[in-house]
Amino acid sequence: MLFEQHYTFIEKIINTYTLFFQLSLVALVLISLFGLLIVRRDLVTVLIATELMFLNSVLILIPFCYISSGIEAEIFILFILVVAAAETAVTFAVLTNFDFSNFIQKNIKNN
Amino acid sequence: MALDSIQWIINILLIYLIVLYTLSIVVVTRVYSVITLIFSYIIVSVIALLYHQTFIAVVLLMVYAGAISIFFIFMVMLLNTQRRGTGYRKLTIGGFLLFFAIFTLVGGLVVDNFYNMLTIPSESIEYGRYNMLSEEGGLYLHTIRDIYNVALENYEKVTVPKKFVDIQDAANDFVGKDFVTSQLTRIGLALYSAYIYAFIGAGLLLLVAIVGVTSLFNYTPRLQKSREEDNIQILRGLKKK
Repeated sequence: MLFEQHYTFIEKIINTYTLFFQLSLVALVLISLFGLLIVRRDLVTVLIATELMFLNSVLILIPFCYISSGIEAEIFILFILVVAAAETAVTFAVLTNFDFSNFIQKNIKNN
Repeated sequence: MALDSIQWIINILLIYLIVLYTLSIVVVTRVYSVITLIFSYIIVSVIALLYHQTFIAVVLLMVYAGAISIFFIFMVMLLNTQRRGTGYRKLTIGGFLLFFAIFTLVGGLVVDNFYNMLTIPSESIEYGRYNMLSEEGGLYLHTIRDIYNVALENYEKVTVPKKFVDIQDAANDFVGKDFVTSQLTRIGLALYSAYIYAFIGAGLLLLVAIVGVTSLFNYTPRLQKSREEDNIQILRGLKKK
């Protein structure tokens, strides 16, 4: 009985997380990693890439909400949203308060 | 409507999402990248709708597209630098218009299919509990009071669960498997019972973020402070330039 339950659940997972879905998720994660690690010229780009990473985690959890009978995935998504909102607010404050002119002048003087 | 056709729509939306992600990182103009970010939020919420997660879709739209994107636009306005470093290809307005035209076309297709899906819920009923509607013969319970009212009618069967984790399981324990609760009720009850400490932790995190943001806005760096003091002294005539 237990084995049958597990089997049906795995079957649901395979039906919902198709190969295309998995591959596109990999592509999305790679694109946001590209923004985070390689395109590091701009702080706003890095922030956008971080938000995209949060969105990826939400996107992974959405089909799991659909196939599972519990509500753990929904709760997880809510907490991810909370963390993303807090992170964006703090970064916004840091970016707007940071005096870029001082930073640039200091670097020029050092060079 | 079968799940296969929905799966096709989801695949098309995922391709759009990949395009939007690359645009939001590669595009030169910052406002355009923020707009593509908003569109990617909307697409994810549409995917959530297609998976019958209405609450998640609404929350995504409200929090991400409503609040966080406005933060980004504020940031672009306040930093007052529209363009980032050179080395990326510029995106023309014509390309953007073409993209939005295709986006609206696919959006119309999705909405059309979504309404068809709403009218025929019986085929995809095995995949989740949330899409079961009252047309199937089961009662649709909105609040916990409804459940207790039905439970009081069948008083002999009532067994009160010790840990009230999932209202659906509780309703099944009370009166049988025909009862369906709304997703919002289930999430609310779970947040206030089993996940209460995590809920308090999230609230504390937001509080810390609010306090940190206000203190950061009031904080002035030491160098800037000394400059301001110097300027004040120069204005008063106490110090020469």
